[in-house]
Amino acid sequence: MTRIYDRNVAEPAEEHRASPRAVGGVGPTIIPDRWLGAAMLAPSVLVFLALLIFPLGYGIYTSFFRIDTLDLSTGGTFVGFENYLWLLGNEQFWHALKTSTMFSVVVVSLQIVLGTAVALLLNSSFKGRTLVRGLILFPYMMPVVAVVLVWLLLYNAIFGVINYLIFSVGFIPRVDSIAWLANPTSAFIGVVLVAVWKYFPFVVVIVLARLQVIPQDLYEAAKIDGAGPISRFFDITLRELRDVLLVVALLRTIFIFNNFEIVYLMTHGGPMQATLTLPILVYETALDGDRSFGRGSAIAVVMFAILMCVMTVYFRFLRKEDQK
Amino acid sequence: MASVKFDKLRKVYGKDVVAVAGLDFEIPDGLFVSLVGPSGCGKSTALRMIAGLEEPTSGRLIFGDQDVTDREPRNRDIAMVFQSYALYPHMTVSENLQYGLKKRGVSSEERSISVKRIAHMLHIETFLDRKPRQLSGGQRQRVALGRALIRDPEVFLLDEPLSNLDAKLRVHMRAELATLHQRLRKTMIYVTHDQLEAMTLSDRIVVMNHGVVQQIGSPAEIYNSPSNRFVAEFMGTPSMNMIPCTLKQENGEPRLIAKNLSIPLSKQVASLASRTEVALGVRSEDFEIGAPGIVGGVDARVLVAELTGAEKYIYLELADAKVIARAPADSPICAGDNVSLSFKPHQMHVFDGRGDEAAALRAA
Repeated sequence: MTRIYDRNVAEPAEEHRASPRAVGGVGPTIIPDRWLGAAMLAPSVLVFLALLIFPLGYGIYTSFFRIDTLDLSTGGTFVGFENYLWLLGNEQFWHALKTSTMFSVVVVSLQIVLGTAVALLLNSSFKGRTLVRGLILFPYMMPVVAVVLVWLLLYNAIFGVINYLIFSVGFIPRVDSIAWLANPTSAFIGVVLVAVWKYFPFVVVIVLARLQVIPQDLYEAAKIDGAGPISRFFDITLRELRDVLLVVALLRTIFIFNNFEIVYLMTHGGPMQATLTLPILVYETALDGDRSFGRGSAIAVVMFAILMCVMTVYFRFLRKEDQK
Repeated sequence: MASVKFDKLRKVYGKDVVAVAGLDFEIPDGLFVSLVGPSGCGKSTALRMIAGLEEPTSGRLIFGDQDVTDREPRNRDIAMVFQSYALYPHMTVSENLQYGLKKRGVSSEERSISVKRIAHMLHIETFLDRKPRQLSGGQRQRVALGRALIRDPEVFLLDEPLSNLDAKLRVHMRAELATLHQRLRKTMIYVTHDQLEAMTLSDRIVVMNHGVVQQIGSPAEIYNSPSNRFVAEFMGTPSMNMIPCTLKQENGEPRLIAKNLSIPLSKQVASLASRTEVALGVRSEDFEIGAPGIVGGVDARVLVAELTGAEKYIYLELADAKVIARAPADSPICAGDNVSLSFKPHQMHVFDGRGDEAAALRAA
């Protein structure tokens, strides 16, 4: 390698050249260089192992045992794949899987459509835009319990605002009150609406951030090329948003598929198991009715496997797209 | 074929930010015209008004005999090359090229023939299937040009298209643009802040500052007969040297007087001056450097001698002003030398005042 030295300063002799550590001002250390990297990584690796790998491993481990949750100290009895065989033949499991899938697909789709529409609106210029951009985060910042309480009041059959509005417009006679969360279909829709309302601001924030960095030149070039507003939306806006929407879809799917609190607090999985999702089934199996920790773990492991499959397909798709 | 006529075209942002203060000139059909000026002078706004991307506050814009002021960009028969190239990132080069044709309902067979023709013309046949991110700056530049050329518009608009290229590629693409214009003979309007690009490419140059046209002329006219001090200093590298002088009568003869300088001025030019505080402008190549004490010369001290390769720039202190003179590359002059400077008499420019707007005093 060619070195450039100041011509007025003699090149230092090999033995007097400073070692990188000496230059950095760090003196001799008790840890040899080859272990230094590992030592510096160790704390984060330990935290990672303790918080992620251990619970995951323990969950998989317990799924092979019959464990009574009232007495975890016994460690349970090893039953092999019995818990998995049990859930394969369990009708409730398949019903919850179907409900979870439907719930995730509907909620994520609506969140993306609503979030993108609102982001497009907030990306245009109008008076008070900054204030509206702040207010739109309101549902996302509210605690889930508060959100559920507010929506339970809105849905209330006797003094709920939704029924009041419907009565006022005159759609239904005042004598018929609608018990929104007592009917399987309307309860499912009701829970979907709350999940969409609570989490669509997340989509707004991400999509808005992406919209703001789409170069205006592209729109101008398209205008000159003869593209109208609809063509510009599909050919530029949507194409530019595609990557971010795929990421949002993945993140939201993982989140909604695992979501427990909204559904449980609103309907406890009812009525007639219309909103029974896998997280609720895990809770009920492991900690509530059955109190079978092993079976609950087996359901959780299957949920984990499903999400891993979704992620694998997603990342393969992304890699393929990148290679194009 | 279309000429472009600006009829008192004006653009004001908000209540009082005047971007373009009334353009009123005509670009004849088939000419290569550069709008040149410093950042914020209104040249890009003017170009965007021609493109239809910016709505004029007042005035009309006429292509040939058609008033296009209120027409959408797609109905103006123009094409534009952007500084950032603005290639559609998710489309291949081929798709980028034919997008405009597709939006105009051209059949797929015709589009494919046009793409082949343009790709051959610009030597981009080998990367028609690549995405813009897989291309170098120069290749992207060609694709952007191709996208403009493929529609065969009446007017080409080019917004600093070379500014993102490295120096070598810029020179190369400059030559290609000039060749392209000679071949197509279409009206091309080119915006740049690089006066060298404007000088080398254009049939006409429009120099702008603060939204106002300062001068319109051929490159030679602009360089040799600048209308005011701003044009004189903006066009040319190095900039024209300016020496503050006082116009005085000595023995009935008008003279330009500075610290150790006294230069005779023609009575005709002197009579045009409206004030005594004037500026003497001399281009760096119009100085002659000789040994100190030469008759008719002015003594000056060399501050820096800068070798650029083909020649030397000699920085001197002259009459309280710093000036730059050119010397051959093998000149022995170096920093600290005392030299004598003389002026080529017919290459001096006198400006009526010392501000940017100071008009050049020139005998008819």
